[in-house]
Amino acid sequence: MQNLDTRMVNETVVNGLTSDDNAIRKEAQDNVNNYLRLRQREEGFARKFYDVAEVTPNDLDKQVDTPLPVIVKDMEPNSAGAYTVPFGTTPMDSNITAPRYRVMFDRVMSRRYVADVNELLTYDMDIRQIFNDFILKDILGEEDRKFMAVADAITQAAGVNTPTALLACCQWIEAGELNRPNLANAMRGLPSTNRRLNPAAALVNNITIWDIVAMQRDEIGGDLAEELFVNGFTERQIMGIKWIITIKNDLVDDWYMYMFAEPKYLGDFFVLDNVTMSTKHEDFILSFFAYESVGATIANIAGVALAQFTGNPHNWRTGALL
Amino acid sequence: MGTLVPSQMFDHTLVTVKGPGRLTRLDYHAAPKSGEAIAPGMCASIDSNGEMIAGVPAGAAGNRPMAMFAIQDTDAFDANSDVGNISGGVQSAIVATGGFEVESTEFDSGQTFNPNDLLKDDGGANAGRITLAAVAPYGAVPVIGCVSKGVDTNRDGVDVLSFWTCWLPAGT
Repeated sequence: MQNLDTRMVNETVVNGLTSDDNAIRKEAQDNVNNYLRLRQREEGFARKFYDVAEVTPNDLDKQVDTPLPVIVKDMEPNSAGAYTVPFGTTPMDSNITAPRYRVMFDRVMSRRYVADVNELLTYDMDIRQIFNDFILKDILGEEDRKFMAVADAITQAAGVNTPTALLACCQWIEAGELNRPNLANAMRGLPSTNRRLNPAAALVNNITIWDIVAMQRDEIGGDLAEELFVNGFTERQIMGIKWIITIKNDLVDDWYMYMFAEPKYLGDFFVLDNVTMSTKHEDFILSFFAYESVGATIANIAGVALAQFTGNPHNWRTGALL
Repeated sequence: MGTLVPSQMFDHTLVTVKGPGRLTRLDYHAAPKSGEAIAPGMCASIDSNGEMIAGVPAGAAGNRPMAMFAIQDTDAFDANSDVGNISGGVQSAIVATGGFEVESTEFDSGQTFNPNDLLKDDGGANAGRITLAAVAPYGAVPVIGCVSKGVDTNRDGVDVLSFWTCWLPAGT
């Protein structure tokens, strides 16, 4: 026997989505979309490293060879430097140039699910939760997968414990076991590059975080040690940065900690089409799928670093053992 | 006086002039093989890794690559992107058995195409380019289409070959 309240909610949603009245159908659609967008903000981790901005067609830049949407942005230029001269010396010229980069968009969509409307009425759970479980989690998983593919490509390009010439620093080191001194050393990753950024957020999986919880009173202080022992770890600030924990350990390996710079130094996350549920109703068949269109970058390769809490700790600048 | 001719968005195209609508048509998406360059309108297939490649090889007995036709360029912004972007990584194509009549810019312009001529992948260095099969089906090469109207110039001034897509796999 179903929960009567849930059944009434489900009937309302299904009847709204299958209504012949355009106004009712649109209202039901908006309610589902609002629900999904709220969950989207809560459940995807890639967006948490950015100041996510919704863009409109007016924000897009034209290209000659493609009608596809793109946004062209300026990067901060390098200055030519100042120098000391004796009196009477004229300045050297330097052209004003600055790099630009493109933010490109594609579409992420779910599969199209098809059901007899009466089948949707037999679930003993909120039908919007079914939409969430069937559709939104997959979309967010894909968003996070693509974000991590770029983060991995950047941090692992040179190999572990290997400095890159461009940044004069490693972007991926073995950091030793996870304890307070090694964690503090790991935090030196971004500031050690020649762009000298500070980490603003860290990303670990739900396995690695238990090594933080296991830290003793002499490592993280009495109150925090007690609270973590009693309540476990929730999203919080440690060592001045925001810790984000994901259950997606297929994307974030055990003992890996990614560090990200502040959003303004990291890149962009533009939403061209917010997640939208498309529904179609013919007779007693309801089909639905969801889609979104986003463009995101890690435009500054110095904005991300990876510490792997295995082996022995290494020096970020040289890659040598500490 | 200017002498540069910039690339245009209609230089390479695939237009499905007849067949199932976009929301219900038989298409397929896959990551392109590394280094592969597939333009819209080229014939394509997937290799044993499931990656999209230009051209439609004959395959082996019991394993015959299905013919497809690329919808967008391997380097289109929504299929690939600049370093640092999270977009792209996947290319899509319509499947030859999906019941289409198409116009493609990617054909061998040195050939004369008559209605009902069978078509194949040009292969080799021209893999992906569509040309005359000039052989009976189910032979050494897969047939990927049958000419309908033939060659015409589209509204953008680009020559296109019109044909019905089909797939008659190699048989020997």
